[in-house]
Amino acid sequence: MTYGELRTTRDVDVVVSLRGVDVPRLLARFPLSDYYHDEAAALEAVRTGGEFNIIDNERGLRIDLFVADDEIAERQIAHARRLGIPSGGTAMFSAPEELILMKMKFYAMGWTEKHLRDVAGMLDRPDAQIDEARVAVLAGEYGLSHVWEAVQRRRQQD
Amino acid sequence: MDRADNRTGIFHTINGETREIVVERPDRRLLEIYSSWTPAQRLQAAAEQTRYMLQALAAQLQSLHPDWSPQQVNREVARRQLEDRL
Repeated sequence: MTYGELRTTRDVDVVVSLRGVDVPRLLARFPLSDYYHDEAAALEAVRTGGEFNIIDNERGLRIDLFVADDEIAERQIAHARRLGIPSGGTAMFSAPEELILMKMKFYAMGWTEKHLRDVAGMLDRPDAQIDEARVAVLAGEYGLSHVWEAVQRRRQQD
Repeated sequence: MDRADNRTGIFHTINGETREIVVERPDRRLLEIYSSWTPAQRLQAAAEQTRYMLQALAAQLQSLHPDWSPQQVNREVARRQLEDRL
């Protein structure tokens, strides 16, 4: 949303650097009286580098937590930007270049084409401030050049 | 977020590449929550979500462009809401 098209969602994706020993402490912040979560699923996500979720039962909101298990996710954390949030505080958000890499990775893994559309939408914003040359280089380093080329083809078609 | 069980087994060709069509199926637990809501609650949730989204975008834009006035931020939010037709 910040870097691309405006659209609503009922979930928020969070990349976390998490150890198994930290899982109980994290989940304790979300009491089961108000939230759904599964500690075994969280521990499995830590073990496999997968994802787990926490659901706000009253408001119908979901947090998808992705355990950082590769260089792209680690880059997302390392290069995150601190941006304002409606409460008046701040939170860390992925930089657009790393977000594009992650979306291209998901696309390459066979996930929805929404990710390709998102990337093209981010790049084609008139005010986009995205270092495309750096994305292209990183795409090559992470074996995503074919997806980057698909993004370029899609931009030409749009 | 999409998951492996969202696969359809149906393939198509896009950008010269044959890919399986993957759809995003809603979370079963979220569906149960939404089903328990009255129509008024659903409308209220939609309105709150839209309001939050616009406030979040404004806050993020202000962080990315600290030199912008509140009027400039609001105009950019409106422009994006109107899909750049403003």
